[in-house]
Amino acid sequence: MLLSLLTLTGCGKLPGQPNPDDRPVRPDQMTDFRTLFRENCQGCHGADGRMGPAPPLNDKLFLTIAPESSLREIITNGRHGTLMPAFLGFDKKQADLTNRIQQREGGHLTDTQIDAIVKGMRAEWGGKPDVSAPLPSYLADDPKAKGALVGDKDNGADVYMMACAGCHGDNGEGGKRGGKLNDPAFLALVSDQLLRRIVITGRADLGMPNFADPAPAARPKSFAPMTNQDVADVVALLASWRKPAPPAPAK
Amino acid sequence: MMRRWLWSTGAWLEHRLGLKDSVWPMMRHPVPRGANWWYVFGSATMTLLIIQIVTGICLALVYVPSPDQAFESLEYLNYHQYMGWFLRALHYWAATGMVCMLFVHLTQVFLFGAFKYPRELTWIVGVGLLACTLFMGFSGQVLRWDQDAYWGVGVGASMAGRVPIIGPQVVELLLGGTQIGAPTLSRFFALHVFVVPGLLISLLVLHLYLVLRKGISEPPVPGKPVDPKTYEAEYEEKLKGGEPFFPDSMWRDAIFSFLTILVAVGVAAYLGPYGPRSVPDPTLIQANPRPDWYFLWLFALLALSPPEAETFIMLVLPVLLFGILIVIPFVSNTGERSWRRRPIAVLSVISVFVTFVVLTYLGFTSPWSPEMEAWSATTVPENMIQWTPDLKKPEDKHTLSPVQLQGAVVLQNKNCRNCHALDGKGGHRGPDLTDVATRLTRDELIRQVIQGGGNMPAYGKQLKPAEVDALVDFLGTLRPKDQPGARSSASLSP
Repeated sequence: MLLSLLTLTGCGKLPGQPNPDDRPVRPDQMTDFRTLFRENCQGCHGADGRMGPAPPLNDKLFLTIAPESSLREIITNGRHGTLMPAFLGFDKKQADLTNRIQQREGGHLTDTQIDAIVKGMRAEWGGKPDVSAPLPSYLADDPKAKGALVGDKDNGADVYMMACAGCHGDNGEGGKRGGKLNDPAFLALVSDQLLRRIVITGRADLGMPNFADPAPAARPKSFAPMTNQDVADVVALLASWRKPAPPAPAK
Repeated sequence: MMRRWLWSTGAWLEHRLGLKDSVWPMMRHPVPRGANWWYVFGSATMTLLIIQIVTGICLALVYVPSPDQAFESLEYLNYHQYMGWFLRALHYWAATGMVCMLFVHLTQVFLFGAFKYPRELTWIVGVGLLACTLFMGFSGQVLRWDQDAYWGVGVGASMAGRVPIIGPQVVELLLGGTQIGAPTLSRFFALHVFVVPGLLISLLVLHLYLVLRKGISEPPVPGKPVDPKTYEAEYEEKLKGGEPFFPDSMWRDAIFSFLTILVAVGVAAYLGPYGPRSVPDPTLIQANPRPDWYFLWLFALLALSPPEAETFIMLVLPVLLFGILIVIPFVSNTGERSWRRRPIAVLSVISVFVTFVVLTYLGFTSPWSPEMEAWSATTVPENMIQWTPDLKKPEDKHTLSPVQLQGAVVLQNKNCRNCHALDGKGGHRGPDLTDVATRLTRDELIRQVIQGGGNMPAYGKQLKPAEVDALVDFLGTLRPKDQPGARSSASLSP
């Protein structure tokens, strides 16, 4: 029996032989993008970076306009004013024991791991987006732009009627194709930067068109791709719908 | 020439050893006729023990019992040493087999009434063998120096620490200090490799001696009770018509043991070694330690019992269980042996096994344990984000509104998912929320989120009003789309 076993091992691998690739890795040493994304991101951003409640990351347009530094900053410190938490667990420079077990709000990733996620997203899902119009900048105060963009909500109302009202209703009350935007809870939970991102990229996974998509079923024939300023204006309009936050509940 | 040399060497040895007068009669000792396939489990347990000894010695040649090198030496065995992984696999699966076979043997002896007069001592020594085997299981898990091992020792030591008066001394003896440290692993290595095996083998020799001396019990016949006054004479009478153990009875043991080895080797080759699962580093908070399967029932029992019962379960219950096992042959060492006439015995076996299986299953699934990674790792099912209300119109899709999408993010971000599953995925400590909107109205949902209740903490202070609004908006969509949402039973309008 042992002999037959030895012959078997000579011929090929037995099914029980452990694969070195499966050996346990310290969670803070894991740098495989797929694993990191699965364990830390897909809960909100969806399996494979799409079809989650939070904006899709598997989006060529998003990955093209968003600078690597922004991605790294958002994952590290979270996105202020939204539900995106900070994922940096401890500082590499002070990686002593106290710091290692001290956790930040969200996750417990290292700089190296955050880097692996940023690079992994670009490598796996990046590429040239299918858009011919000039791309708006990701940040409103993009240093490459001539100056910080200041949105004008009155102009934004015109842009809104052209680009958004077809689905979200003339006053953001929502319609059959798009949900309510003029919702105090929604506007309280999203930052202007997040609104800007969604206006530019749309949500391809859920059928929301991007800034340049003529989307004939929803947008008028006169639709023209939004400019950098148009985006800022429409965000200014949405921001003007915000209501001051209600007082915090009594403690 | 060769044959003559062998013959003379054999004769020389025999003259000194005298095997013909000692071992040979043992082999040929008569056993009662009718001993059948039910009698093979003890020898199979022993065969597995021999595998354990052989593989254990081989493993000890490579394994380094020091906390900083043990994990590496296990990885060396798994990935570098030729067939090292197979040694580890066989040692683990033969151990599993040995525990199983031991319980089968114990059950068979119990149901056949073989522990009754005059074999009480054989049974008691067997109980000692059971204790040794279970300790070997636990200490073996500790030597597999991974996260399970590290926290397993911690739990074991905390339990020992609760022993009245001498608790701290017991902990110090086990751990080689007040905490898990460098000497801990050496202690467990010494226990697993020298102390307990020595004890186990001594007890086994005694067990076998008693089996030979008092003979194996004849298969029970309903209506033929054991009477200490007459039993031995009747047994002697039966032996006169008996058959020699070797070869008439032993061939069954040999075949069954061979099959057992075959299964152990096959399972080891197919399923491979168990663990080491994760680095034994107490600073890693991503830990989900579990005991090996034979202690999962205890893990479940402790998790499900109220805190006041803990000390009882840890200290009194083991003593009680082993006490019951030891007392059995004294409480009932006469009377009926056949299980057909012993309903209480049969019912006890059934209830013990059902309890064991149910608790083990619960320990394996551990639904009380939140899934700490679910918030970031378990996705919201896609059909809860976007769905088709009418299958005939696939293009007509319904999507969560922006605020409902934010609500789903709140559910993930605030760790609700660690206790609440969607579509069965996520934690199971709280109810599955897949159909929550058929059970609770919007107002009831808000109240539950803010005030908690029924084991759920209150989240009123953790959530901003907008987060509660968004969350409840999302939860309100969670129902089968052909069913109406929950309606309030109280009228809110005057």
